[in-house]
This record gives sequence, C-alpha cells and structure tokens, in this order.
Amino acid sequence: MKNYLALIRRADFIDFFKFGFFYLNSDKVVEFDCPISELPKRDDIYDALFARINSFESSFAYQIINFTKANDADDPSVVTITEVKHIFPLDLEAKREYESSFDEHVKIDNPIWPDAISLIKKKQLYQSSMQGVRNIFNIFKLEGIEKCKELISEDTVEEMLSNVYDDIRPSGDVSLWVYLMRYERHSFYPKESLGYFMDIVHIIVNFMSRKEVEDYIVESTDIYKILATYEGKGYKSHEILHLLRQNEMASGFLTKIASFVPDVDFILVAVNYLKMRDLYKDEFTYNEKFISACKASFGESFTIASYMIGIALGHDKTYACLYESLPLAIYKSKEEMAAIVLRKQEERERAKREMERIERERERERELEQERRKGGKKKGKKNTEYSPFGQSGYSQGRGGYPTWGPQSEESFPPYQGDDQGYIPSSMGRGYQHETPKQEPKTKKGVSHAATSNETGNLFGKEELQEMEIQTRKLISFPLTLQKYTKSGKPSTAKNSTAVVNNKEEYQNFLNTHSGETWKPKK
Amino acid sequence: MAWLVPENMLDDQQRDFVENVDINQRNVWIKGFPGSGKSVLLAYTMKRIKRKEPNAKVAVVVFTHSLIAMFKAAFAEMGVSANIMTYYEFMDGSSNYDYVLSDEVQDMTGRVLATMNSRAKHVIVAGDENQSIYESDPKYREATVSPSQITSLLNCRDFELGIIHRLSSSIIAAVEKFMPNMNIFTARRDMTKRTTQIRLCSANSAEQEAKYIMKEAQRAVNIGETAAILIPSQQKILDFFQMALTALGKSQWPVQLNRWGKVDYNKLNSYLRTNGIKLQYVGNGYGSFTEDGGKICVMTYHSSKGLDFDNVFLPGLSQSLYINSSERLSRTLFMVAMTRSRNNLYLTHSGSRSAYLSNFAGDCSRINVSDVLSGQTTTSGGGNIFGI
Repeated sequence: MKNYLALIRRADFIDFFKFGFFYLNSDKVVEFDCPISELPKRDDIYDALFARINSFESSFAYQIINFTKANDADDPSVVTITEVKHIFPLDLEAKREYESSFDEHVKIDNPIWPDAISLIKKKQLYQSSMQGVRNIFNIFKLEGIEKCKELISEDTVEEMLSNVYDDIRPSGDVSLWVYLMRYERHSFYPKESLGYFMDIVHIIVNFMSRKEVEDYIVESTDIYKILATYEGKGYKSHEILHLLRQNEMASGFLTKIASFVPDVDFILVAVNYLKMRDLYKDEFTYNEKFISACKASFGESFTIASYMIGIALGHDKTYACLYESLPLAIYKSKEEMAAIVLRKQEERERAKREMERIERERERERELEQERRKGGKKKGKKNTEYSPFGQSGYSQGRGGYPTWGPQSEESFPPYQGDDQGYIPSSMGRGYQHETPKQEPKTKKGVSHAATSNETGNLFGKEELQEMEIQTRKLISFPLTLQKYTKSGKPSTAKNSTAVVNNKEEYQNFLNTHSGETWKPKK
Repeated sequence: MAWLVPENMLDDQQRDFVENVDINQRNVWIKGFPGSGKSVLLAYTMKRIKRKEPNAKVAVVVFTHSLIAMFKAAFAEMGVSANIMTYYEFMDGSSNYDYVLSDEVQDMTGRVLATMNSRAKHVIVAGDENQSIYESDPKYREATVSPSQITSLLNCRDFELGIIHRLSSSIIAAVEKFMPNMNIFTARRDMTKRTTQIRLCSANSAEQEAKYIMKEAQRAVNIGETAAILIPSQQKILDFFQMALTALGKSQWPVQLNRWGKVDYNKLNSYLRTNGIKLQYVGNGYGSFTEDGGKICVMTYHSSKGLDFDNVFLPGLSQSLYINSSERLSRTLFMVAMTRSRNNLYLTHSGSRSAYLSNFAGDCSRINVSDVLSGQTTTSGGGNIFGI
C-alpha cells in the first residue's frame, strides 16, 4: 500500500466529494513513507507539496488530502473518495471554516504545518508587490527599477511586507523609506499640498522617535508651526518648498533630511508618493497626460515614488490597468467595449423605468388590498384560495409564534444532505446499510478507513483510469458501417461496408436496409 | 458601491456561494458581519434569478426606506429591475412571489418571516444575528426573531460569510477581543488596507471629555471629513449637547418639547445653526447628512447602524456606562458603535473606564485629555527637540 499527499483547491474538493472521484495533477501528488505524526518534521515533503502552489487569498482556498492506494501499480493521479483518509487544512482558521461550511459528516484534521500559510502568504505578498512595480513601470513607461532597488532593497521590501502581513506597525531601527511607505495619516492635516508636507514632518518625527507618534507631538515641533502659518493660502508643493528653503528656521529640518537620505530629494519623492497613494486609493487608473507631466517635472524623484507605489498597490490593484494597456489577447476591442457600456446604460435606464412602474402598481395593489380588507372576510378568503403557493400557516390577527404551521415541510423537498442514504460508505459512521451491496466480500466494515480500499470498485476505478481510452472508442461521424451475416459474423461480401456522414444519413441508411444487420465499425 | 463586482473580485467564501449554493433546492440564510458581502450575494442572487427566469416574480423586502434607496440604486446600476419594499409594505400586500430576497432579517418579526415563506416559493435572506439591536418591532409590538426561529420558520440552510472587507484590521482585532466567540476570518492583508487608529482618551470629567471631543471633531469637519459622536441614550445625548455648548462658550439650550412631549431636536438643531455651531442631532427624522458644510453628527448607537464615518467619538465610557438592560443587547450596540469608524475611533472616559474596554485597551494608543487641552504635551526640550 502506498501513501500520498496532494494539495487541492477547496472547490475541487467539493466536486471530488460530490462526484466521488477526481483526477489530480500528478505534479501535485507527493508519496510518503512515514507515519503522519512525523510529517511536520519532513521539510522535503513540505517543499514538494508547496513548491508550485498558485496564488490564493484565504487559507481555506487549499487543503491537503491524504489518500492511499492498495496496489503499488495504481495510478495515484486518479483518486476515489473512499481512498481519502485525512483532510488537512492549511491552518486552524481554515479548519474552523471547513467545519462550518462542509457537509458536517466530514472530519477535518489539524493542520500539518501550522506556519505554512504565513510563509506562503508573505512570499506571495512580496511577489505581488514586485509584480506591481513591474506593472507600474510598464504602464508609466519608466526605466530604472534596478536603481530603485539599490535605494530600497528587495530585502527591505520583503521585511516590510512581512510586518504588513503580521500587522506590526513600524518601530525601531528601520529605514526612513519604510516609515514613509507604511505611514498612514490619522491627523487632521489639510487636504492639499500643505498637508503632505505636514505628513513628511510626521514621518521624520516617527523615524527619529523610532516609533509612530501622536499628532500633538508633531504639532509641537517648530517646523510644523512654520508650516501651519501657510494654512489656507493654497500654496502648491514647489511654492512650499521654496518658502521653506528661504526660511532660516526651517533649514535645520531640510539639512536633517538631507543627512538621512543624501542621494535623493526625499521631500519630492515623498510628496509624489503620498499624492499618488491618495489618488489611487480607490482605483488605479492611468492618465497619460498627468504621468507625462509628473515625469517631466520630477524626473528621478517620480521614478522612485512610482517604485514605491508599485510596492504598495501590488499586482492586485494594477493588473486591470496593465491588461488594458497591453491589451490582453483575450480582451474585447475598444469598440466592442464601448457598445457594451452603451447597452448597459440602456439597461440601467430601462431598469429605473421598470422599477417606477412596479412601484406604481404596488401602490395600486395596496389600495385594493385595503379596500378588500375593509370589505369583509369573505372576499379575503376567496383571494387566499387562489394562492398558487398555498395558505400561510400563520393565522392573521392572533400574533405570537406558536401558530406558524408546518407549511414549510410541504413547500420544500427534504434536504438530501441529511439523508443517510446519501452518505458515502467511507465516512465511518457504521450504518448497516452502508456496506456496499455490490461488494459482498467486504468483511471489515466501513469504519476502518485504512482498509476501505477493499470495498473494491465502488467508483469504478478501472473505468476511471481507462476513461481516456474509452473516449477514443466512442463513435463519431463520418461513420463506417459494417454489414453482419445472419450468423452474427462480419460480412466479407462486396458492399458490406458503407460510410455515413451524419445522423440523418445514418438514419436513412438503416431505414433503407431494414432487413439487414449493420453496425458501426469501431 | 459596485454591488455586482466581477467574479474575480469575490472572496473565497462568496465564490463558494455563487458556485455551490442552489437557491431552488432550499431557502437560504446568508449570515455575516457588516462588510462581509451579504448584500453583494443578494445582488448576485438577483442577477442569477433574472438570467435563468426572466419572468420570475421577485420581491426584495428590506428594513428601512434608506435601504430601499440603496438597493434601488444598486439594482438600477446592474440593469435589473426589482420590486423593492419595506417589510411593512410587504405585509400590507397579498401578492405571491417566486422569490423573496430580504436583508437585515435579524430585525424582523417571526410573523413577517412566516408570511414570506407562505407567499414565496423561495426565500433568500441576509442578516447577522450578532447585529440584532431591536428586541421588538415598534409598529407590530411583536418580538424580533431569534436565530433559531429564522432557521425553523424559513426551513433554510445557513451560509456564513466570515471575511470582513469593510472593517480595518485594528477594529476587527478589537471586536474579536470584545466578542471572542465571533467567527471572523482573516481578510486579505496588503499595503492598501489602512488601519483605524483607536485612541483611549482619559479625562478628568465629563465636561473635559466633551471639550476634547468637540475640539477634535471640529478639526475633522473643517478639513471635510465626517465625524459622529455616538451616545447610548437620548437623555445622555441632551446632556452632551449642553456640555458641548458650554465647552464652546455658548449658553445652554433651553430645552423645548414637541407636541408629543418629547425633546424637539428640530429646535435644538436650529439653535445650533443660529449660533454658528457645526453640530446637529441626527435620528428619528431629525437632521440630515446632505446639508452643506459638513456638520458633526450626534446620534444614538441605534441610529448609527448601517452608517460609517471617518471619525467616531464614543464618550462616557466610564465604569457607570449604561446602554441597555439586556447585557446581550448592550454588547451588540457597543460593537455596532465601535465598528462605525473608518479612520479614527476615540473612546473617551472620565474616572475608571468601563469593563467593555478592558479586553482591547492594551492595543489602543493613550491620550491624556487634560494634557492635550492644556498644551502640556510637548516633550522636554521644547519644540525643537529634533532640531527641526
């Protein structure tokens, strides 16, 4: 007997459970030869299972199934539900989710590697961010990713995203770039260019305090007080920067920043980044004119800010725009999309009109109903007699719960999920009638999962494995027909074969040769 | 809000519903926390019905007129017409339907659900048992349904959504600590998800709380953000208004009653307007969100349900905090109030703080209101500590 693990998607498992058999991708099947309790120590099995896992959202998107094959020669990529011995969720949250949503008979084990999700998701978050950078550079037609990586290394990004995943706010001795990228405004700074300068002061104070600080601390700094004097004047970024450079009291602030980040203009990068982050907070869109203007005005500072925006938005928030800009081969043309937008607009208008009509009709119905109720019981009774859905179990006018009758039992078919007859025999519940009738040789009972392979060909494993071959044997047009003799042997006489090209020809042929025996030739 | 998001935008649980739940086999109750996508799935259900059975007779039954407006706009956006009504309107009618779709089912009465079941072939409801904030229906004077009654009256299967998209990770963490038995699953984490800053603010008196709240809330509305001050009861609301007026150096409002002997909040709102104060009472038909020049909204926990604001202030969270005689309802209402905030949540108290804050107080940033108001927050060395 051989033991296997396979990683399958939740949706695939639901189909597997529903239909009883499943074709696995053989790359995702891993054979193992140790007790299950030792699996957590087997890094080689972990690596083999998760090596090529696709990106996913929730930990319950995937699960690991453990199945056995009684015969070593059996193809492990064809599995029946009776061969499955364990279902391992990827983490305890997934276990909780499966237990609340799967058929309640299904037993969910504890995860084998409880930290797997965290490791995989962090890796995926990093991959998505770096893909986001490539997407942004592609869409904005920028160059110089490598130079940006020299400034904000991949290691820094990876570490920062690990903290994002773990919900750890920046603190301690981390790069100023990290304090910038992770910064969130929770203060009431003005929603204009000046506000971004106040944000930058806040970021610098965070960096120097080695933790995120409250706004009243920021507001007590001299540089903030200088900026506060510009409030309500509607200054643009370059004007504020100019004013700061002119102001002797602000020079300490500018010198300090230059000492932290000597090679680039941190303020310009930060203003660009913070502005873009606000601009794209709901949806990322591409405005060629705006981006060209930014590139021309801010040059390298804009490129670095775009690198950071790519990291922040990731592939998830940028792919729609990228696909449109390529465009994807599977995308409809702009003309087709314009027609769809127009059609949807018409549908919206139609829906609005229709809802107004429904409302008027309902108003009329309400008036009629009120009149009917005033009119007395008899008329009302007549109405309910015509109800196509039967009468309510609720007796109007009495109030309270006890009068709700058993109408639901008649209105709805019994839920088959609770019908014991539908339980697959491998579930180990020990019902008498679960013993497969077609396999009377089975002696050990259904409660022993390890031996349930012996329940035999419950799902027609051989047929499943041969299904591919079978499909090739199926007939299709054009069809060659063979004449058979009365003794049942293929005729060797002249004209003992014929070809028909479609169903009609086939039917006509059989009608015109009704006294003879013709069968499709395989 | 785009209700019919493309399938690639659905989370794993929502996708599971779309792929595997057969609404024609059995009635369905879509459960889930606010922001978990219950309404999105109702919209998907509507679209599915209209695609498969264009002539099906469908009623959408909701709790309030504001929900009608919301659903109407959403369905029109989807290009789908629907017969949308309040449950009172539904109960006044006698039509039968192929499908009834209903939201906020936890606040309806058993009779309404039983009627839905008898007048429709298929019933698909959405609602969250943890958000039930009414014990009885004000018009029918009947008890609202319990979770087990919903299941038995509709003979339905549950479908639970646990991934919350609307709330930030910090609010979810606080809710999980406040109500540990809730089945919440981790939403996607990435750099585009903001946190909500939860500030635990300790004051010397209720008056000081009011002064601090007004200061911060005014700063918020002055830059165009929304701000709401949520208070458990009407009486406490009136107390707060008077303290806020005092804090702003204005005379207290001479309370005026309406013809039913209740506080006339229209008069209060016009008093505030006359005095140039950007503050209003909202609820029970008073006040409006659409008025020009953003105003700070003061409302009860009850009235805030279904709404959200950039900044939320919950004053009076002292040891003597009283919300409702039912502990279950008190906790639910408190949870509703604290989950209204997008950007900043201020929990203020004077004296010892309420036990409701104990479980997550450690995760909040601390503000000493007295220091902030007196300007004694500068760290030693004055304003130039960083040389900037």
